[in-house]
Amino acid sequence: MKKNELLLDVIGEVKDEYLQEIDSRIKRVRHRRMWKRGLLAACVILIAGVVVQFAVMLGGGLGSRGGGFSAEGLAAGGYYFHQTRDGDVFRYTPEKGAVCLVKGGVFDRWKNTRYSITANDYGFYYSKGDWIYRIKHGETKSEKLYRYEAKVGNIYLYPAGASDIAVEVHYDDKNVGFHNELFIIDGIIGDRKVTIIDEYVNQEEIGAIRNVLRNEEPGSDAYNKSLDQLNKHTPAFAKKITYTVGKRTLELALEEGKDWFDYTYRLTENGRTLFNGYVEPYDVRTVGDSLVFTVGRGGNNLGNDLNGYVIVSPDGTNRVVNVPSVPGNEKFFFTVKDMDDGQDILAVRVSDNEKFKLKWDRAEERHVWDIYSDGSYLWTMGFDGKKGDYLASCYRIEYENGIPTALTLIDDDITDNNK
Amino acid sequence: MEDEKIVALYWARDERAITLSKEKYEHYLYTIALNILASLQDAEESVSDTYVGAWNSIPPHKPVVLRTYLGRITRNLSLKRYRYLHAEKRYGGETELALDELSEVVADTETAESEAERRELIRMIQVFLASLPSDQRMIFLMRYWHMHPVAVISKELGYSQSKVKMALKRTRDSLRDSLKEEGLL
Repeated sequence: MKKNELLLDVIGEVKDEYLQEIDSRIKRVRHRRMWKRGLLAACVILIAGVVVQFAVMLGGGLGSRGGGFSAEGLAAGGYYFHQTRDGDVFRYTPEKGAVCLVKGGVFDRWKNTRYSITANDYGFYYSKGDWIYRIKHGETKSEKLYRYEAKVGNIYLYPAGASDIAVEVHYDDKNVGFHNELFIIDGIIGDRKVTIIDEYVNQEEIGAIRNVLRNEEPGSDAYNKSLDQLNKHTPAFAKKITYTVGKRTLELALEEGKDWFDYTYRLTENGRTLFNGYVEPYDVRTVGDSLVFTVGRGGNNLGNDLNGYVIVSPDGTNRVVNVPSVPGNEKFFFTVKDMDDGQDILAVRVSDNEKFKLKWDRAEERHVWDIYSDGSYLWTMGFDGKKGDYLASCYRIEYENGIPTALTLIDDDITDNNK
Repeated sequence: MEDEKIVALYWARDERAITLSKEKYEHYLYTIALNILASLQDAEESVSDTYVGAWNSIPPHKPVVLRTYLGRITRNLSLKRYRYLHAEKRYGGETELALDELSEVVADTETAESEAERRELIRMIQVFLASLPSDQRMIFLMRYWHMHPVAVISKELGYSQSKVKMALKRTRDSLRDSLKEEGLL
């Protein structure tokens, strides 16, 4: 046997707890993705003027800049928010630069598995210690909004409508039991509105399952009850969702006999299939007047790529962007292309998927992980080998004859006020 | 049905144990086998042999976590089948890629595998994995235990592909250094 084969072989002997750790994490990410996107979908539904009975509970609409809710950075309310490894949070605008909103202590993903910052059109929210705080847009003063009921472990915060915040939390406290909860708080007064689900596994540590709070075995009473609650509260789990785009009425429906976790949703208009494939029931966004649906991976086929979009416009056109990318505006999406010797940032034209390589002054030591854009500016987030830290940079997108051609660096490290 | 009850059926030599294992874990086992073998037919055989393996090994074993117990059998059988099928020829798929990547850690040369060397390597890998941050460990094992492609790891863990690639590179480098320190290279 060759040495590398032996190595691959013995890796198979790892402890069970490490494999369970992965299972647990995947389940959590899928669950979080479901909720996050479900809630986003709920927001967009409201913007699109769709009548969905349960959306009422979730409130208003997605911010005009909605999108980017990943841990390191997010764009909302006309700002870009950046969380550092030290638990600081900066608020940035190209005009005014960065303001340090919170100095240290914000739960961060660098040391923990926590996504504890979020924002909506009303303000910016973060977790620190036992509390969820809020800072209104344009202000710098933190306000205590909600106190956790016990010691918390992993935390995820997401926007839920114009002013509400969804909180998914793992309680890491013997007094209340080790369990997960997802609930909604009022983002203005901090009242806890509804606990949507007590999650499935009650564990003190990875691999040591103590008790099952809610059995999610399909068919069980508890499962059906959970599903019922989910169907009531978020369209991500509904069998059929109706959207309107201008005068067009679209239907996103689960295939007969399938369940939401099969991901087999079809997008149709007047019975005609708009896209020859599956479409995700969540992560529906608005870009301009159009609705943007994420191409799905029906049948839970993990080998398929999720990063494509179907863009449905009021003028009757349906376009597909088949490049992994982030939406910028109605005409262009943006993507990063990895190469052996560096990275390119490309604009993808929505009308025909043609790609335009943007000129940019890439720092050689910088490796971009994520980008965010509103069509006018583009923020990159990545690791800088020279500085040994994760940095966010801001670029202005330059257009020539309506085509993006270059990125002009506005700020190399938005958190460095000494430059 | 809970794992404990299925294991009890194995112990009672009740063949419903296999049916229930299939119902609950077949998709998971197929994913592992397909990642390694990249052939549905070969994967079918591996998964099918997994149940036989479980039937023959429970009892005396009494796995606490049936999922990983079965997954481990599938992985071992699939790797064995992979080596048998592809002893001479180059081959596509994730196993080939994973082996290429691990050549960065240990040379792609023949080794006279002794049980002592294997045991020592297992001990060292356990220590190494325990020293890794949780996220890095998960990425490493999803790649080299489950043999998932980077795109799948990225999607399932919620990281960018670049981050996954970088984490894998760093972990391989770190593993190589640890093996050197332990005199196993």
